[in-house]
Parts: sequence; structure tokens; C-alpha cells
Amino acid sequence: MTEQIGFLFNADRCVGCKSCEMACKNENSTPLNVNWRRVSSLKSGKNISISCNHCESPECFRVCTRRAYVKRRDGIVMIDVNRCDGCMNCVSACPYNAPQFDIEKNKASKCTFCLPRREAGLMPACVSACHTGALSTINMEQYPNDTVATIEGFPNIRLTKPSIRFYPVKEKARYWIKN
Amino acid sequence: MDIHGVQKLQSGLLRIIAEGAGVADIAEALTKVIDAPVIVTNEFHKIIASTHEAYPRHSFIRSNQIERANNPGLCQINLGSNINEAYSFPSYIKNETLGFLYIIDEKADSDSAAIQRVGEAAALVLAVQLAKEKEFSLSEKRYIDAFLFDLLYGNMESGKDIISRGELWGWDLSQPQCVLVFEFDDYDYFSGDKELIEVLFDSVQSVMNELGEKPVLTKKKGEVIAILFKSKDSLQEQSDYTKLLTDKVKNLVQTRIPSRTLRLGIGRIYKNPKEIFRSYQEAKVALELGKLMDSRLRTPFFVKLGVARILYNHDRQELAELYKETLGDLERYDLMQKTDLLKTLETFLANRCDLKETAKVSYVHPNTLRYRLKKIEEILAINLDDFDTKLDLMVAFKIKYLKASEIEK
Repeated sequence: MTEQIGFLFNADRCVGCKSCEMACKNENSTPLNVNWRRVSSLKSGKNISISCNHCESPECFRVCTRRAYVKRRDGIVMIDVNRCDGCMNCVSACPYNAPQFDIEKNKASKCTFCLPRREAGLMPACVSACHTGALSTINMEQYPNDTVATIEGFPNIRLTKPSIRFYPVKEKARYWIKN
Repeated sequence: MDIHGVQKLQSGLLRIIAEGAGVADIAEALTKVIDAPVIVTNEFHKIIASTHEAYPRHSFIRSNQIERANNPGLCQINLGSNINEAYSFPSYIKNETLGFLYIIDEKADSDSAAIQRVGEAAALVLAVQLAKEKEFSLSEKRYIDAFLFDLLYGNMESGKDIISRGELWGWDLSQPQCVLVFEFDDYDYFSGDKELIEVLFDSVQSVMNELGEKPVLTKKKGEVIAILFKSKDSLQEQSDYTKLLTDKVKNLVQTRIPSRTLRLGIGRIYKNPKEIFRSYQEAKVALELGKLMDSRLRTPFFVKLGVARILYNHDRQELAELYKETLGDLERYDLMQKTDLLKTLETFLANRCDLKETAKVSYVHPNTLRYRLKKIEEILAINLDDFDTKLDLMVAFKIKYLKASEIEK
């Protein structure tokens, strides 16, 4: 009943092509300054793709004075845009910058886990678009044992308990470069 | 007892089940037949029926297998100071253990083979009853869990709807209430920690019963959540009472599971049931920040987190800078001169800047302390009588607790 759905990310496989970012934008028709999913570079030279992590203890949900946020029984955190008054509390509270503020509309919006696609039995657009298989979805109640809760470069998970798991980042094998 | 006797016993027990009786009746019937006390536990070793006075219902027993070739099922069970030898029989269906049957061996000349036969037959009958009860409680739990999930995540819009649904399970949600969250440090979802959560749940429940409270209790992953109704008139009284309650839970859990550390968080009190979700989220924040503040916040009330709440969400780099600017020189001096002035200053502030008290706690003469504080003032170029300075120092120490690991990096 209350199974939490989440993302699984493999930084070793991510090539930083931003297909997920583009697919998200295309699917949800988000404006220019609003990016529900973002790909950024890590210090280690790897890339990371972050969107809303549909946390176990969502800070956006806690700080919202307008009760605009809800957490569904499948764990997806949704925002009711009609209730949002643009106070930006959620934007500053989220450690992952998931709620994105649209200056033109004066409202916050965020990843919906591609709910219409999910209802049609499809994967979220970002996951479908990832051609290297770096991004996938999992049931957080039964995540693979060889995964970890966080990797270096990912914001602190302590407070919100995000619904995302990672494969541990491996050291790059360099066969031709000798120190 | 021969094979016919065992068959007769088994059909007798099955008849008891068919008549709608529970595990307790089976245990009693079995005791009458074999003339030995029996205990039935669930899969987590919590007693659900017992005919032995020293092993009351709802308590947890521990059992250790005794290595004896001629008595394979014999084990030693204990509850508090009671230790007995008993034959253990797991009740299972399709490799899923549903509970355990213990037949206590009190006679010196008992026929172990006969007990084995009776125990195995009775354990099978018990498995049928336990499976039936488990299915029943699971379907009820599913409804309750769905309601509590909606309640704790604010998915219900109407306060009236919440109150009327709460009444179905005997909860008066129209009263002011707050949420308490209990959790073990380093909880591992995949290991045997699930059993620990069961013990924790039971501990919270028994403390609440002892104090005559009827809270809404539920488990969620590694958490035990209690919605506590406000029973005292003033906020201070309620806060003291909640503290007493959580201390009792802590002590009980400490005796039951000494190897693990219990963490808890307490949300604000809300009058409207629509707002319970806020109290739940606040309790979780208090729990996490309580972990970081450690001993400084023995009972983590969200309302008492104070400035730590703001610091936690602040930019890490800026916090590190503020810390270094405020206490960096003193830290450096301590490192070079091998002194412990930082600790002195911390104790001084923790004791409300009371010179006598600090001297007493630190086991130093007040004059020595005076000298050290003067030295601190010199190093940091501050005046410790100034209130603003004290505030800055307090904040810096809070940053030290909150971000100790990151500042070191």
C-alpha cells in the first residue's frame, strides 16, 4: 500500500549528455528558467543528475504554509500549483533545489515523477531517455543490496531521507596514464 | 503418549480452533493434557499466551539452544531472573515462522520423546491459528496504516473527516496532540533490526499503558510513531510530562536492548488534526538535529531547538567561516600550547557564565578559572561580560556541534 518509489543512479554510467534534462523539459513543457531535472559535474569528474527525490521527510512539505504539498501513498511528493503563493519557503528549504521557482508565474513547481506516464504504465521521461542506463527507478522497500545511500557531491541526506540510491562510484581505470 | 494419543490431542486442539477460540485456549488445553506449563510466542519472541506465572503475556523472552545430542529441541529460556529449561517447537507454514511453542520441562524424569511428539503436533495446530490471526490483524492494520499515512502526510483536507475516521478506531483526534518519533541509531532495514523495532514498539506501548495514556501508535520503516494527546493544562506541565514519558521509554529500551542507542524527536502541539503532519515532520527534524546536538539536547523538542534550526539550513561555508572567525584563534592557541581553553570556555558558557559553578564542575580553583578566562579574553580580543560576545560564542559552539565533521574537512 505505502510503497515508496525512488530513483537509482549510477554515476559511473552517466556521460553528462543531459538527455534526461531535455526529456523532462520536453515531457512537462517547463519554461526556460525552470529545470525539474539538472545534470551537473562532480569534483571527481563524474556527472550527477538530480531532480526531486520524493523524500521520506520532505522539507518542502514541512515548511509550506499553504499546504500546497502532499505526499501520495506511493511516496510521490506533489505540489498543488493553485495553492502556491510564491513565498519560496520550499525553494530555500530543499537541499536538492527540487522546487523550481517560475519568476513569470510567481509559483514553484517540481518533478511529479511523470505521473501521467506512470499511470499509463510508462517509465518517467528522464529514465526512458537515459541511453546508458545510469538512471532507473526502484522500489525503496526493496532496493538492491549493493547500493549506497549517498555519494560524494550529493547534498546532505540526513534531514530529508531522499528516495534515491546510488551505485558506489568506482575509481576511474586509467591504463595509459602513469603517475 | 503413543501415536493414537497424539492424534487425539491434535484433533482436540483443532476442534478448539473450529469453535473460534484463540491461542490462549489452545495453551490451556495443552497444559491440561501434558501436565506441564506451556508458552506461546510470536515470531519476535513476544509471549502471546502462557500458562506459567513467571512468564506473563506481552513480555519478551530470550532462548538459547542447549547442545545435547539426546534432546535436540531443548533450550534454555529466560525472562528477567527466571531461567527454565524448555522444549522449543517452531510453528511455521511454507518456511515462514509464525511463532514458537515452548513446553517447560519441570520434571526430572520426563519422557523427552513423548514431549517431542506432542510438541510437534501442537505446533502445527498453533501454526494454523497463528496464520489465521496474522491474516486478520494484517487486513485491519492495512486500513489503519492507510489512514495514518494520510494523516501524517496531510493528505486529508477535512478536519471533520479525520475526526470521524479516528473514532472508528477509538481515537479522539479532536484533542490537541503532538507527534513523537522514536528510532534506533544506525537502523539497518535489511538486517535483524526489524525485531528491534518490534521491541521498541512494545516498550513505547507498555510505558504509555503504565501512565494511562492511549496514544495512536504505529510503525513505519525504522520508526515508531506515537500521536500523544495533550492531557495537561499548561504547556510547561505537558512538556515536563512528555519528558518523563520519553525518559521512561528510554530507560526501558536501554534495559531491553542495551547495545543500541535510542533517538527521539518531539513535534509541536497542534489543536487541529489537519496539522498533525506538521508535528510529525517537526519531530523528525528534532530527531535528526538531536543526534547532532547529542548530549546538549537530552529531550529533543522541536520548539527547543532554537537557533540550531536556522543554522542547519544555512550555507556550510559561511558557518565554517563564522566559527573560525569567532573561535579559530583559541583553537589554534590550544593546539600550539597544548592547553584546553576551548573546553574551559565551553563549560563556562554551559554553566550560565557562573564562575563558582564552572570551577566546581571543572575541578579547578576559581582563581585558576579567572586566570584562564582572562587568557581567553586576551587571545580572542573580546570582553566576556558583553552579552553580544556571549551570544556569538554560543552560536559558534552550536556550529561546532552541528558541523563538526564538515568544518574539519
